[in-house]
Amino acid sequence: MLILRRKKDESILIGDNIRITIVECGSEGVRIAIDAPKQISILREELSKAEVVNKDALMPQSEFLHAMQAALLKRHPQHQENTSDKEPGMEITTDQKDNIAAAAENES
Amino acid sequence: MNLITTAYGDIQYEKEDLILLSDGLFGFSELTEYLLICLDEEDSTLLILQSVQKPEISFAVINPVLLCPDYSPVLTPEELFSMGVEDSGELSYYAICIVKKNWAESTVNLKSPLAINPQTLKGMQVVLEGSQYQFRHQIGDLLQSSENLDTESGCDVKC
Repeated sequence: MLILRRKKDESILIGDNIRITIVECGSEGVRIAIDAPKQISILREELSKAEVVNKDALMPQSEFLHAMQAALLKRHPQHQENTSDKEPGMEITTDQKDNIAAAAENES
Repeated sequence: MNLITTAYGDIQYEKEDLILLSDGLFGFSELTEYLLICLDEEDSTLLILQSVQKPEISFAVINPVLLCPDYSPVLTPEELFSMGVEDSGELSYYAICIVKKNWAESTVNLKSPLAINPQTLKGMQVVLEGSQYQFRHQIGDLLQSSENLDTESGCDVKC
């Protein structure tokens, strides 16, 4: 790995068309400006981690969900009374619950 | 309106129920409209964030306070501005879960929660900078530490 020391307003060049300039240095962090062609993806590392976590969370299996809900409910029975009106969220009607149950059966 | 979902059957909803994430979720920027559905009408512990545009896309989300009683995200001034609020406490937070067969091994993402303005139902997924929260906390561990600290305030998130 190459490690360089740069001061404010100094740049480094990567290849022919990427320039990274130090805009500001401070105790809170460093601000950098990146000039690069549009097709090059630039992402804060934590955002790319957040993408991976979201993808791993996609489409939970309904039988696992119900097992987790039952376990959580056991530990937080008081939550039922605490459900706040201001929280967004819709209830599933009985019909819809039947559909979910049917969907769960089809899955298994 | 009616939405035929892949996992949860037919869902009836009104336009006012739509949660609008103008930037989508990380990795799903093209999907901006969601419904928050309770798995069970008597309990809203675990909710489903269901995409309206792609019926096969859904996530399990939880109110993070249930797992971590002193969870208090601090958003940047830019994020608060775009959400139309002045204080992080005015927003509702939902943490996305990765649900495993053994529920205790399921993980919850406290590092990048979904923040929703309960007045407008507009929301965004944020990454909490410099916080002690992580992308994957095991739910079993969180519950254990919040139980141990039942009489005290807060949970001991080991990060």
